[in-house]
Amino acid sequence: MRTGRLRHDLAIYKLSGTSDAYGATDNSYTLFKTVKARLGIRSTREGPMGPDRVSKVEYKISVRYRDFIATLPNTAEVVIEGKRLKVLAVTDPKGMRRDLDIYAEDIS
Amino acid sequence: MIDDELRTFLLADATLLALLADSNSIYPVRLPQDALKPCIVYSIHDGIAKVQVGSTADIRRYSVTLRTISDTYGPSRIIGERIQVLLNGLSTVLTTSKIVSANVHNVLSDSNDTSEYYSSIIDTTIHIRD
Repeated sequence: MRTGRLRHDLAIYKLSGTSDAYGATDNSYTLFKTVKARLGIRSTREGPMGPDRVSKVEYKISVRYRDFIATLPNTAEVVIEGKRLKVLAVTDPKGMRRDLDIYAEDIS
Repeated sequence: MIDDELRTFLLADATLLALLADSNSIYPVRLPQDALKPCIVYSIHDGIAKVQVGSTADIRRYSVTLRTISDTYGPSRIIGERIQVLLNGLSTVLTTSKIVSANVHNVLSDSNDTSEYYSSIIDTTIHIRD
């Protein structure tokens, strides 16, 4: 992947995972890492949901390979270009541990 | 309220702690996603202060339901048995709450087919004196 294509800042958030005195899990997100990324749109769809029409965009975010991104849990969220997205999957497209593709969609 | 004190009391028991997945494995009301098992989920009802005849002290009667959760049947029952030993007949001072009586009055084995776990549901009544 050419460095010049990594034009966006990707902020990765993970669940805090801490418990309070009652044993309740803290479901807030904390910033984990910030990396350079390339943003692309993978699919868009629109359709009726009850009385409304809703749209959903799925993004493909490309980054350099890093172990902490390859092992992101599916509860992680990312922020890129002001959009907060839910991570669907992380893949190594060529299996060479050089690049990673993060598939993410709008949080509704 | 006794929520955190009761949780701390149970986790302080080394025998019970050894049966649970880790030192956080007691959760309020609902089982968190991806929680390690075996664990315990508790819910607290009532706890309304009631004035006693012939006394200036209020008594709070809590109904506490503890559900032990594990992937296999045995641990859910063994943890339930340990909870009964700890709570049935208990009379002690927790951090600030003074337990004057506690009794376990119902135990039920159950399972959840959707999440595929076994559980033991323990109903307990705990009286706290203010």
